Amino acid sequence: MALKNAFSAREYSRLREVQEKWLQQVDAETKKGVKDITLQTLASDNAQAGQAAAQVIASIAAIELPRDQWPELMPTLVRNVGEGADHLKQASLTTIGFICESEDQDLRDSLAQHSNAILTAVVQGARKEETNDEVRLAAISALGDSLEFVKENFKNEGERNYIMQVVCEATQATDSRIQEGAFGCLNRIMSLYYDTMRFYMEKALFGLTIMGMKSEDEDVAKLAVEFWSTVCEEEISIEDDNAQVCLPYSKSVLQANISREG
Amino acid sequence: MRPYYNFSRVATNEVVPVLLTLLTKQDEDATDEEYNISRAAYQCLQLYAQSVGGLVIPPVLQFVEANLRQPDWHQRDAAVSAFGAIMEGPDEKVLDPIVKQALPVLIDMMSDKVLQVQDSAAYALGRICEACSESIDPATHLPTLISSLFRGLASNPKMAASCCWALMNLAERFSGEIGCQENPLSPHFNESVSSLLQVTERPDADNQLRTAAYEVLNTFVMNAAQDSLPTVASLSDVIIKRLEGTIPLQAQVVSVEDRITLEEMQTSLCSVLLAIVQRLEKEIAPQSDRIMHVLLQILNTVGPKSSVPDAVFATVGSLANALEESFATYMEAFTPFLYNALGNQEEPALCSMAIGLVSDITRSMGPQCQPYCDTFMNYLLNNLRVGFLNPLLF
Repeated sequence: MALKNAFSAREYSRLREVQEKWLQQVDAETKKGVKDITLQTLASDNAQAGQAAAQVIASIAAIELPRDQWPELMPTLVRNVGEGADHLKQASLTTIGFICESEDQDLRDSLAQHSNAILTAVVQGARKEETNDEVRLAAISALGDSLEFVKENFKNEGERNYIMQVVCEATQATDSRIQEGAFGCLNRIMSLYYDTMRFYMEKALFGLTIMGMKSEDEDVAKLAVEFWSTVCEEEISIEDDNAQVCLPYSKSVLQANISREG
Repeated sequence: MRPYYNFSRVATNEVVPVLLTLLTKQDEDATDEEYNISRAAYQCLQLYAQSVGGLVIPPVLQFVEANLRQPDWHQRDAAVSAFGAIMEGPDEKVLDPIVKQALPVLIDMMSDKVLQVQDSAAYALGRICEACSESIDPATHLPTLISSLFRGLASNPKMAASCCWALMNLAERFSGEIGCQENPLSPHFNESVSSLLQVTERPDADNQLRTAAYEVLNTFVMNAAQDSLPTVASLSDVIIKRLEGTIPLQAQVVSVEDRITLEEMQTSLCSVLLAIVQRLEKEIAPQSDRIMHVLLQILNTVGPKSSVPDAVFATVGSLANALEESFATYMEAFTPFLYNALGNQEEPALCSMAIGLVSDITRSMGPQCQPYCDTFMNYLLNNLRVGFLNPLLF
């Protein structure tokens, strides 16, 4: 806990100061000790301890990942999710979530290169084959936070298909928290990757989101409504952009496209 | 070119009916800030109209017709809201006949027995004023539209925000050409001003209602045609008197609420006065002694850290612009406050406002400002030296 507090300074300048200290004043052996212990703490069956360890790891990751100083972190987390007991899986997924939602720009810039590891872990945890709802929930929230770092994977049709399948299945989970997480993912996916969504809209998203809007669970319904708000926002801005590209005959071209596509 | 798949268009007939049904799930206890399913659906419907344009009209009209007369207020309210939501997006020409047909109905709904429905009707009218004002016929629609909005404003403070917003949109859309002799507001101007003066005086008016009503008054003054200027001139009398009436209140402030009420009132009145001065220009001269007198009194009595001086300075600036070299009369009395603000680096907003005021005053007074220029320059140079204002200055 003390470690966590030491690392999670609210003020930016203070945070930088702590990070500098870690880099310059702590010797390699101590650092390794701290990292090993916190990684071990992830396995604690005390949920609070696991949560605190996840935060400490995310704080250290913010310093070390951009500098390539903790190469074993991501593989360890992936292994935990693959082979660990349920609470270790959950804590490891939460850790990935914390790392991905960090506002630290250096860290964010470095995450794309870890996208394979991140995706392997979160997609595995989010699958419908995962029987523990807490694990699946942690995975689907981490997936939501990681989406903007997995651009490369999204370009690959096979990987994209698999991610979409897992998210779509999660909208049908019995636990409404997982449904909410899944619809949250769909909203982000639509706004980040509209260009690749045609196939999935026709095959699944259209039906799933209309069903979602009718859900008894108000939060699920709101998120499904927001999905269509996102679709409209994207299409309004695409029309604007395209109209600027072909100003002289924009209207007629768009109209022609519309009638052809529609 | 980015790919464009028409998702929203293709899905219109599936998605829009669901959104419309969700609109009927209002929560009557929700606060204004609360975000619930019917509000999410309203936002989505607005975006849908912008995205697909005219395609949204048939399902929405069908819904409106089916629900407008239902005994359950949720349905009537949803119908009224749905109509307002699609005012932006479809081609105005397509909307025109529909809006013309709906206006009397919506105005009628302002007298619904349920407050929520009245409020949504006012908001929908505000949307029409904002996005489809061309369809409002000044002769046939405007009289009932304006009177129903004023009736709504007077009937319940909870409707103030919607009614005021609609009235401001209306005033802005019907102001006519700049400098025009008359505009569609002219026949309603006097009555509108007296309604607003009444609402702002009501003993049960809360700050929100009063401030909103003063903002409407402001908008009406700014958009007044030439033939309404005599009314604006006599309005200046009332506003100055009200401002004078606030001075003794300063001594009676005991609570934080008192202070907020007084400051909001003074700020609103200063803003209306500013609009009047801008509109009357030189014609304000006969009132200028009284105006400066009361403004200086306010500056003398306001508490520390108040935002009122900002409003006062803005009004003084407009007076300097209107009076030009005759403003020199007031410099002796006013400069102490101006110097104070110029040197007050604790309050950068006021300080940068004062810098703006220096340029207003020097420009309008011309050579007359010469005796003050040394001091102005000293303060300005000092501000430059301190440097904290740089981003605001350049």
